[in-house]
Amino acid sequence: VEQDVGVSPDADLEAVYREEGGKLWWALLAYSGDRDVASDAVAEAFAQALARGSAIRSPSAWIWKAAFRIAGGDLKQRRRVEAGASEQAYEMPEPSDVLIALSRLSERQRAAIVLHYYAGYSLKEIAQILGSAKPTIGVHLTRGRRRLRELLEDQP
Amino acid sequence: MREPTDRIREIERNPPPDLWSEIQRRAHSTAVTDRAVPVAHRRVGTAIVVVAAIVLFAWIVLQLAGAFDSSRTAAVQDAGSLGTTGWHLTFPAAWNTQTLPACPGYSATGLIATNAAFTFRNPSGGFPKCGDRLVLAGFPRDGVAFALAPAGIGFGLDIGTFDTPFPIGWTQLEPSGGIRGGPAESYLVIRIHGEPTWNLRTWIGQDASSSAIADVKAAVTSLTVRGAAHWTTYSSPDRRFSVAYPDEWFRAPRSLMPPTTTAQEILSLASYRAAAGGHACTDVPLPGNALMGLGFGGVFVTVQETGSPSAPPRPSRLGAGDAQETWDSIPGCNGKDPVHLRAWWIPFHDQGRSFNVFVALGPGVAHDGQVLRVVSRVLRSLRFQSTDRSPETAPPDGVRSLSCVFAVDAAPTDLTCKQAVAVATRELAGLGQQVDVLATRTTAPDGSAIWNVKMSGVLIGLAGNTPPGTPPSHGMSKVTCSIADISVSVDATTGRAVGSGFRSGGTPADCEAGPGRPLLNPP
Repeated sequence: VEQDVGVSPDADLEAVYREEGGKLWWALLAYSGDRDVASDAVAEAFAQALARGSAIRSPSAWIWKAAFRIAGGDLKQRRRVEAGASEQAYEMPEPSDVLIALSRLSERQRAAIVLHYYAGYSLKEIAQILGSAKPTIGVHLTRGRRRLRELLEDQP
Repeated sequence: MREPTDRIREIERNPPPDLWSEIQRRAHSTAVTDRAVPVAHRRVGTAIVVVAAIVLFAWIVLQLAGAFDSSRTAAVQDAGSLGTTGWHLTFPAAWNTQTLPACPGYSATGLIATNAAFTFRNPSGGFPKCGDRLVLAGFPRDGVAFALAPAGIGFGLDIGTFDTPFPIGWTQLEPSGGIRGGPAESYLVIRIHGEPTWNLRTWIGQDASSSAIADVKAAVTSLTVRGAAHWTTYSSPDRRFSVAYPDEWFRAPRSLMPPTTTAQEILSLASYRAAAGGHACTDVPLPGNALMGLGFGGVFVTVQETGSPSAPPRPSRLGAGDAQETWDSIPGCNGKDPVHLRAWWIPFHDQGRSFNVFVALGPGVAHDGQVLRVVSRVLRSLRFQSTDRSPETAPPDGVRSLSCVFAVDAAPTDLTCKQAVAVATRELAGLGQQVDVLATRTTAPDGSAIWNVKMSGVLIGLAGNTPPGTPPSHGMSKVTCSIADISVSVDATTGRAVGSGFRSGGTPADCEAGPGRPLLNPP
């Protein structure tokens, strides 16, 4: 068995970034509510994909999964360090109503809503990304959509 | 009413930053980690860890029971490939690895592998990048490790010595100053096509087991690198010896020495294309032109066979410490500049034969440990075979000492060594002197057997004419044609002296004008 540990910079990956980087960043922003977390997750996921080179068969899917996992890890670490100081989220020039409403959802609901309604992933794919079961994702989606409607209807 | 999820695109209100340059920076400055491994893979990984823990537990139990021999079951993993990373090596499968990122402008990555549960970091605490120092604090005392790091662009003085020959022997690695209280460190700068391309480092903890040390040595030996030089072996059935040397060195196809010496050159190796001929102004016979080409970073090795009966036994290393004579420069002859070098000369005997070995290093590599290690390996690889027949040591009249070298089998009708020497030295009869003689039997280009008889220290005579403008010294005539090293070729079948001697010292005109006889000079 030959283990190839080389970096083989892939020009195609830049094309993936140009095409999907922005959308991924927005999805991560909606999921995490933090520009820095979104930027770090995007950069780290693409960098790791570059480092793994041809070992990744489907870069786009791999990067989405990796980025959400990285962002999830960052959020977990931040919660641990800042002990619930989540109000830092959404300190951005133009926080939209949707973003503010999303921040009121649970992390899992938020991820399911963003990945399904924004990124267009199926329940099965979201289950793979979040490491959960497909029915569970369905529940997160249903409850998250209902909660989001309530939050947005309450807004003036 | 509009579904709330229909408004999801409102999240795109804030423009995203362009992260591509940051992505590239991270790709070249971080190792592949499991930070980005998807959750599903992590679950598989967790399962693997659990299984591995169970296997490890069972292994420990078996170890304690003395029923398990790790040396028989150790699996080996391959890493790298000549096509992608430019290198390939093997090491135990259980070892941990870290990727060393490529240097800017290069695509080749390196590798750290260790048997220890230890993560190598740079002094800033991050994963090592090109040229970073590695922090070894906390490295286990029983651990071993090696690192193959891209060398990147060197800005130091490059003396341009020869490429690193493969396979790498453990003795080629240079021990560093070491890390106080830490593992012993050795290193090797691997040169490919004249450029320092890889830095190889090894670490051996103070309490490392012999099997772990053997593993790291085996890993080093297994290393192959694209474009590398290799060791090659040369055997001479005529001269009855063999030697291994880097295949980028040059082996002289014939003797570089002028045919006036008492020793017979059987091998000359150099890291450059050494020129033949020329005299070196030393009291030992050396090829002057070859030494003139040594330069700043050259290496020159020559081995001569002699008839000296008093040479000491072969030292184990043939290094400078064993030398009978050493030089830090060789005076230039005929007004030429001196050659600055580090050189040593060792007479020795081995397998009943006597030799001189001479080593010269350019000043740029005179104390370069890695160059010295390659030279030492070349010298240690010298293997001599005994001659098939005992030399005939009884000298003819006028011969003080005689050594005979039977390079080829003699036919029954050939002249014996003693007979050939008698033919070659007959013109010395009546001069009342004793000379040292080395007789070597070789094969001429036409297939005939030839005895080459070399005489040293032959007194030809005193030339009475003093060059114009030169004051007489102590009332004596100036000696302008006095000592000659003479070489005579004798046809082993016919007994004819087919060659003629060569006189050194003075000019033919000097000698012919004086009372001294120009013995055996070419017509």
